[in-house]
Amino acid sequence: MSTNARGHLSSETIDLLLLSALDATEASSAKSHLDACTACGSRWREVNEDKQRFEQFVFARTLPKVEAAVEKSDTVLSKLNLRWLMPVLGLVTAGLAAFVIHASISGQDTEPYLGVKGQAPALEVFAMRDEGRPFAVKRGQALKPKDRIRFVVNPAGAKFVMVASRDAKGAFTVYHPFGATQSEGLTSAPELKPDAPRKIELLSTIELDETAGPERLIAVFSDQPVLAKDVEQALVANPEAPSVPHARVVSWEFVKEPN
Amino acid sequence: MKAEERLHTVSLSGVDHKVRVGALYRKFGPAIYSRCRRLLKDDALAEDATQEVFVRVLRHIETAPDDAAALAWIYRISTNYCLNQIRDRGRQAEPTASDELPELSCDPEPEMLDRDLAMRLVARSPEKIRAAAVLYYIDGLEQAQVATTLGISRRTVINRLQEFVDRSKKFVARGTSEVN
Repeated sequence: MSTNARGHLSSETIDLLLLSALDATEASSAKSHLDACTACGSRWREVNEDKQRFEQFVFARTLPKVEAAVEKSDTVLSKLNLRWLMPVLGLVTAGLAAFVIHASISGQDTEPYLGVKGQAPALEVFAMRDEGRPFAVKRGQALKPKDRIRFVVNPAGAKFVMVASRDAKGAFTVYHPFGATQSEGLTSAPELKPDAPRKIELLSTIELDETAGPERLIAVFSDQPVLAKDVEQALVANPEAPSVPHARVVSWEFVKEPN
Repeated sequence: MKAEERLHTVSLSGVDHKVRVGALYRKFGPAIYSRCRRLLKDDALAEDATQEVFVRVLRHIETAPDDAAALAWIYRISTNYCLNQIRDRGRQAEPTASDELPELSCDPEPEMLDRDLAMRLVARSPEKIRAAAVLYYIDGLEQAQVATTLGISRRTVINRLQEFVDRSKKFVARGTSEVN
């Protein structure tokens, strides 16, 4: 644990301390700071009082409403967190073409294939521009800086997934899990079991930066975690058909046009 | 991070969904409530907001790999929810007289450390920069943490914070109640 640039504990550190989620060294360091810093000590007392108030009064009063809202939400929405995509689902289901992404796959073979729901790993990208409606992004389609993109994958049995990109200037970024050094397991939630024959909307939302030109996306599906540096190396070595050992790869390109 | 503390990934697998929701609410509810109370400065509104935010954040919490990731979603969603509440309340309220507004020095950066003042400035800012400003100036997150929480690049965070500071300066210079 360290203080931030302004010499204080962040809200995250204080909340993690309250959740007993810091390891012993971090917790000890944070507590020492709380003893010495008036501002952080005051904030610590405040969150403890709030916790007490929540447990004594708020929890019991509000839990029934929360349960009712969750039940209603479960009934109305699918198991997946597709609320963001609901406006386009009608369009997507209207034509199989919207489900099909031209892509290249490697790891088992390098032949081009059509990633169709339920048959092979697939990556779909949806974008939102300003406050407009979400739209499905097709291969080679032009996007703009500040467009927000999200990903839907069909892991086809894979246990881990990573989505990353390499932009026109060669900058490599892990989009999902954002900024991570390795791929993310898909087994942490019941609805994300890898053998579930359905699509998964990944939770990361990415706002595109100003770098114009072609940007190559890669989705890496595997049974073991894959390191980001290996994915980057694969993109550098063969941008058109990247290959990552012990993984299946879906890769395609979109274009970022300047505003 | 202690793995055994990951309530949502370890100890509740296989239990009834209703029990799971209750346990997650008991665990993360205090953080949401404290945050809403801090931003809204009203106990009753914070209580209502806590329910709303928890329902919105539940699925993210369930799939978060650890508590820090769960908190990131809580910060993101509760910040936007509360700021919208503040904005909506502001629309219903009488305009604030300029002489009631806080005095700022020419360089507002040091003043941002005053969280109450920062909240007033944030509430007057465009939506796209509000969350970044709250997370950085009020929550004390580093720029990289803000980027991770919001799912945007660090460069974008820097740009938004700079825009926030620029708008605050204009706000001071104009002495009006609206920055945007």
